[in-house]
Amino acid sequence: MVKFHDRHLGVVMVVLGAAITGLAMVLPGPITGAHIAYGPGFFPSLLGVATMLAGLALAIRGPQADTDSDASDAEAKGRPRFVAPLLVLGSMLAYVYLSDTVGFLPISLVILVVLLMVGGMRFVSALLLSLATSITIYLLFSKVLMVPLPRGLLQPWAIWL
Amino acid sequence: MMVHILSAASELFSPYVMAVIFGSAVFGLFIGAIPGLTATMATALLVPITFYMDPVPAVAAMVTASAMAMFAGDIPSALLRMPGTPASAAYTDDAFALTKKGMAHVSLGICLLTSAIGGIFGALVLSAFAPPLASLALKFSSFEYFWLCLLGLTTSAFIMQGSPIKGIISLSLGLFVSTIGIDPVSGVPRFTFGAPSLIGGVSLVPVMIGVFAVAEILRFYAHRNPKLALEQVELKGVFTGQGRILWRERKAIAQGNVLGTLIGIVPGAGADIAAWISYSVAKKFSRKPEEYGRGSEEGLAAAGAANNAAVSGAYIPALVFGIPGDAITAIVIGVLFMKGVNPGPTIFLNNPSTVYGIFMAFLVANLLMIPLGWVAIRCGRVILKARLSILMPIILVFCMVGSFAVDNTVAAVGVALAFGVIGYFMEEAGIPIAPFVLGIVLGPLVEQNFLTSMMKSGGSFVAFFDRPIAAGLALVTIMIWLSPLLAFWRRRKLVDQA
Amino acid sequence: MTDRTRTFSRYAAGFLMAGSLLSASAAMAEWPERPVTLVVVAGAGGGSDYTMRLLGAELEAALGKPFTIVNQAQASGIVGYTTYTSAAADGYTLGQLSPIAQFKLLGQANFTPDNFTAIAQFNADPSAIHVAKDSEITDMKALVEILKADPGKLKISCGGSCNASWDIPFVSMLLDQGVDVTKLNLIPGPGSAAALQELAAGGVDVVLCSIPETTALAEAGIVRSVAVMSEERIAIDDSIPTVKEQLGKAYVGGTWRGIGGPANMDPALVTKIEGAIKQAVESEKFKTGMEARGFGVAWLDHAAFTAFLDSHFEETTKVINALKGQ
Repeated sequence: MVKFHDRHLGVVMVVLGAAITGLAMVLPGPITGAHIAYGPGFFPSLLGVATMLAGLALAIRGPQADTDSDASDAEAKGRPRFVAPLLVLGSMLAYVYLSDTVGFLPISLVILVVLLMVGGMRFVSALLLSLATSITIYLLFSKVLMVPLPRGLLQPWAIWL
Repeated sequence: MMVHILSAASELFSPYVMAVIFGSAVFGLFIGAIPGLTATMATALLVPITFYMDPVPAVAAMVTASAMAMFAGDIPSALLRMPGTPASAAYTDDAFALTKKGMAHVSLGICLLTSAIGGIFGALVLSAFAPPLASLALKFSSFEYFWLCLLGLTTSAFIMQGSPIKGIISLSLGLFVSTIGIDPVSGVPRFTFGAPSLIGGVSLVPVMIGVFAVAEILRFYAHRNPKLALEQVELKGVFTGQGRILWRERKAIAQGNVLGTLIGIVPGAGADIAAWISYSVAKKFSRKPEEYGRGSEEGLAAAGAANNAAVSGAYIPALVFGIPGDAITAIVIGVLFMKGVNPGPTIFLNNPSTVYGIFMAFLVANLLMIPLGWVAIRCGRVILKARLSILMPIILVFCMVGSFAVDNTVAAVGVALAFGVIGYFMEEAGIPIAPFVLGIVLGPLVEQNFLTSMMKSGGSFVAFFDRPIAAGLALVTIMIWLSPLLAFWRRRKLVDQA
Repeated sequence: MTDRTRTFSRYAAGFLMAGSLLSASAAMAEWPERPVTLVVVAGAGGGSDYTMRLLGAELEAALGKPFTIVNQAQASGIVGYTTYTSAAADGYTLGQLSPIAQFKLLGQANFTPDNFTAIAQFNADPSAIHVAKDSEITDMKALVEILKADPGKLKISCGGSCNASWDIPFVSMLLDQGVDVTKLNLIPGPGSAAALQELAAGGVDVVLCSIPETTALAEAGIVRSVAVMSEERIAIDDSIPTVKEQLGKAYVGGTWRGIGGPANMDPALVTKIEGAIKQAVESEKFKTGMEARGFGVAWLDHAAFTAFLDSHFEETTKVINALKGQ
């Protein structure tokens, strides 16, 4: 993958810094008391300006021979793939929106099976490994550490879980 | 006194308490080794379990679990480039760089032994000098904290590798992220865009899980990243050659012990800040600063000792004045109160055997760390042997459960997701991650202490230099800022003379 | 065993009916027939966590079903309050109900008494006024006089965020005594421990927080309590006079903890839960547990707690508006 062009990055940071500063400036003052000239927007707007200045410097300076960069690394990476990382993001999104209704066990099972199969495992072994992993994690966190992992669809069996 | 020590010893070394300590040790190692799950979380998760225990086993459990978790955070840091705790983040690049060179056993050995040394040093200081040091800690008001935090931010200049401009961007963005949520000074919600899940701000743990673990998982799936391909299949002897290394790095270790303990004593500054400051100081005074970030054994030794020393040091103000030194002792104080053991100067009179029990628990835990940590590292071999395509999905599930467990909300999983994407692109753009995390840790402290100081002084800056400790810290900070200028000036002069 | 069989057969039936047709009234008659979630709006290990766990343990022992404690401390507890007020009103998701009126007034969240069913209050801890040992402030009269002459003279730490349980009753008292509260120098901080540290370091003049939080520093001879804002002296340290003794008028306030649920809970269910809590609060184990850590047991039943919640909103509104200068 081509490394991000430093000039573009600089421009992005200038825009981001400007946005932060703008949003910070419109924050309301303290609601009560507080007899100082520095409101809730003071510190964030400083940070916004710092980001803008650094972005500007980057945009003007442009790319530099990065002493740190591992040439071999960049080459070995090749072109990035999109489907697999999107599956990871999708799994996390599914967890955020569905874990409460579906429950931890089913959703973690599905996520594990899918990602293990992406990694080249066959369905049956993926299923077995996922079952074992999900149940272990559930027992450990929910039973031993009392983290309230959602039961979801398995709620009616709550007494056994 | 002897009577109390003996009675404490007989309680501590009873089979029941030893079993509790052993169980908490295994638990702490496990929690610490999972990327993103912190020593603080290990302690918090123990609260319900210790609810019905006596004070000594309850506190021994927490002491053991937090010390073990602090070390175990280094294991995924070295093997997978995912720091297990924020305190490991300062030297993750060094630990992983050694692994890439086929020296995982060296980096893990240093981390293990210096952790134990740091923990024991802190515990000895705790046992011997708790009351006077706690009185010193009580001299810190918002002015002193402000300078201490600024000093912490300044140190990030030393841990930056590559472009300093990108380091500044990373630090600013980290500080910015820390301002999301209700501003504790004014009560105004900031940058929440009306989202109820943002009103509490973004917690450090899901962010850490995101920028380190999730980003690494994304990288793996995007590239089948050879950066992570473990070039070393067999882990060599963990203790081989450690005697020589430890002796060579004795100065760094001593520095880490002392700084770590001191920073631990200062309420509110814990192991994370200790590791960062100690690492930067080691680099600043190193003869080989160019090695830092590329596998410096010196940096590992200093920071590895510092974070465990800080864990012990934090108990000093906690026991003597009931004022927590860090997030872990804040929980422990609550548990002590629960058991009817009230921290305070009279704890030494009213509950001497509990106090000695705590001291001894520290020593036992940190000694136990060496064999158990060795076992944990041996288990870590599984990571080296397992195929990453199997490991990554499992780590992802742990990431989600871990984020959820911080505050018991799925919103934290969303935060981990968002910061996973951010961390991925930061790395692609060559922006270092460490200053970003440091910014999130220090942001609230810097801002709040600045604002409350201004409120107290009625807007006058003079007050920042009025108090002796504040003035001292200010002097150090400003000298560090000016040192590059001075060096530049001196060089110019030399050139002129030539 | 019968329990399990019953659960199983109900599941089988429920499965056929898309698993959701458990009628509300049937659930109520047998409350609790499955684990109950108790949301604590503070982190593990703190005072709220302790009292709620203590109560939860008693409820669990009495009712034979697990009471799961869930800590949701973010945003001063707003997240936790939101969790249980937006849950189903079936009695299986309850939570800690503590001072909440400030959130709406500060634009942080939209809670009104209508969002809650105030089931019962079990604890109240008075706010108290603390100074450094060598402070010139020896009694409340002196304190009020100083503030009347120059409201901004003293740096007063709120013992946490301002506009909260410790400073609201204090400001309310000053308002009544004729102090210009808009000019007060109220200093927020991350919590009472940090506030007391500031006091010891000489950073502030007065700290407002509860009595048990200061015992360690009082024993060390660093902090002195001037007065406590309760009707009568409190058991944990009866050498501390009340504000009433010193100013001749009772000013009472502080924090309190109760059990709340989402709005519109069935009255029969509320009565049932209220009864269970009363039984737990009266148990010997709960009482000694509260006493051991200096927490006051203060019982208010459903009706009294509901009325109290309204007066809490009134007082908080009055004080915050006064601070704003309205």
